[in-house]
Amino acid sequence: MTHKKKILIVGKNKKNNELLSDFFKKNNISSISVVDLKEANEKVNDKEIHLALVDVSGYDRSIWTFLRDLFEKRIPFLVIYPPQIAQKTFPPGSHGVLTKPVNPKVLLSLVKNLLGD
Amino acid sequence: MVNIISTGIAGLDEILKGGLLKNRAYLLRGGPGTGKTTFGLHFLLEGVKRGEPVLFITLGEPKKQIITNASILGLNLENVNFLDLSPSPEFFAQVESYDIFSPADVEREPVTQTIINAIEDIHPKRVFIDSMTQFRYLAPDSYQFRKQVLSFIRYLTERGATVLFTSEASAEAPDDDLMFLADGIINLIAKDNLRYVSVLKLRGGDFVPGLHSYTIGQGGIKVYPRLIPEIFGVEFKYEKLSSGIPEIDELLKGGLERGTVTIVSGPSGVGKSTFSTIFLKEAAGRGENSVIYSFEETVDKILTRSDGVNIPLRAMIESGRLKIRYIEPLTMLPEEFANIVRKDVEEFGAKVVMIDSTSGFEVSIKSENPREHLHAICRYLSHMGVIVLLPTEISEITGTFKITEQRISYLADNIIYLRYLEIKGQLKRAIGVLKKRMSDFEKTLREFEITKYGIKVGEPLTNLRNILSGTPVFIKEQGET
Repeated sequence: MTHKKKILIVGKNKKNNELLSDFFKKNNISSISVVDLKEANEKVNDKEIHLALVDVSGYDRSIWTFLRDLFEKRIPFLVIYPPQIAQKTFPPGSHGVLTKPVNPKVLLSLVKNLLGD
Repeated sequence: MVNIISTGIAGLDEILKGGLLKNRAYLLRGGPGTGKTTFGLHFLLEGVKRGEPVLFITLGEPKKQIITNASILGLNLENVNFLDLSPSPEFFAQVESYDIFSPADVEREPVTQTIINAIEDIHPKRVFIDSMTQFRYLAPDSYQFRKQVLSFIRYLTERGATVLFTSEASAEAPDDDLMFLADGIINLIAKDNLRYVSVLKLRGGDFVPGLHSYTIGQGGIKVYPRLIPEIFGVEFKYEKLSSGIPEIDELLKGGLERGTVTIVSGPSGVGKSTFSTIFLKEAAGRGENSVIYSFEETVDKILTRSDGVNIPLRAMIESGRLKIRYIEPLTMLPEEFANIVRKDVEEFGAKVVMIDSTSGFEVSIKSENPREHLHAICRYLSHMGVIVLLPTEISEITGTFKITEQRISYLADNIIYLRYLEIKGQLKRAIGVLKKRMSDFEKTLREFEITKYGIKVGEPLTNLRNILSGTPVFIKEQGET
């Protein structure tokens, strides 16, 4: 049975988004993925989203504004960093920081916890 | 022999003493440009020839490119099944590239499933995987990789397939683990424009050790097994072959024994080749076959020269008693030459062989150490009871006495030397014997001449001294002064 709560996947790489969507689907978790931050904001405003998974790679400074918005709207979120960044900051309100490549088992465990399973 | 299958390359089968054991997995390793894929194609095409289903799993080069490259070599892959797991162009265009999960997490499962589907569908008897190294990136660590490869090999072999897989070894990703997993290892080396194959391991089988040459050209790969003289031999008597000239037979106390190597040493133009051919003529008279390997003169030149000195090489060729092979400079690998010699001895039945000349051989054969190969060929011919004649040039016309400048006199059972002599302002020729391992020989020198009627040899030059200097003096004259 698919989980009723929905995850918002935000990332510039479409293939990454597709793989994450497939992964969550396989684990009965519904998700939607977006590339554009404007579209991401719209999804957040729809109030359907229970958790956001944000890959910051490839975005400009506006990604940090988006993360602050998530914090202000009290939407839990996980931040994904590329491996090249040595010092990973913990943005305010984030529930966790992951580095690519992500271990699927760790990701699933974190997501399930945050969704309240 | 039922469990041995051919690799599709005759020379490699010879090295492997018949071929590969069925239902085993073999590693084919080598650097870029060594022809790993082409070796694999021969392996698969041999299966096709026998009506077996075969499968090529490619993880690097795309199928289309493999087919095109094979057709350039004249190999038709029409009946070869392909499983193309090489990356598509979309991968480069970012549409397919990803970094969120490791390749092991993303691709292992679909790739495995695709392979299983292909195997269940085709039931191949031969599988070629190019390359197994790519699977390393689908495993999270080396332990998992080893386990997955073992399991994969077992899956294939238990379904009746014999597996040949390649590796791409580098300093960052060595292939030592694959070497341990494989039932056999075929190693390919490219060095100084030459290519060598060697077998490093063969579980349950025997093989010919060492480096063996191979070439890649039209028709694919040709492997030339290294000549190992010790493994050849026939029973023969050390009977003598006469020269057909009584005076020379007197010098040699009867002639040259079978299975011996004779260096015929002398300066340019003194008549080494012409002298050597008299033994071939005599062999033909006894109904025996001979071969001349010429590294300097063309066949036409040799025949014209022999016509002029009444040695009937042309008639000997016509009667099938003689073959003359002209070897173009730098066109032949030493093992390739050795294989021709073997065919001439084992199939044509050559009893006398002339390698003209040793310096020509050294210059013409593509090898770092041609002397070593000449040694092996001579030893093989000796074991086969063949009389070997090695005309050997020395650069000094007269002066310091030398047998050879190539330090090959250790090869010789017999040494015959031809010299120019300056006597009373005239240039003459002399012949003598310096060494004869199997019998006694005449210790004097004799004058000899090459005329249109043949070779003429005089009485021993007993009234001269300092003959070997090239400028002898008459003993009588010395007494007078």
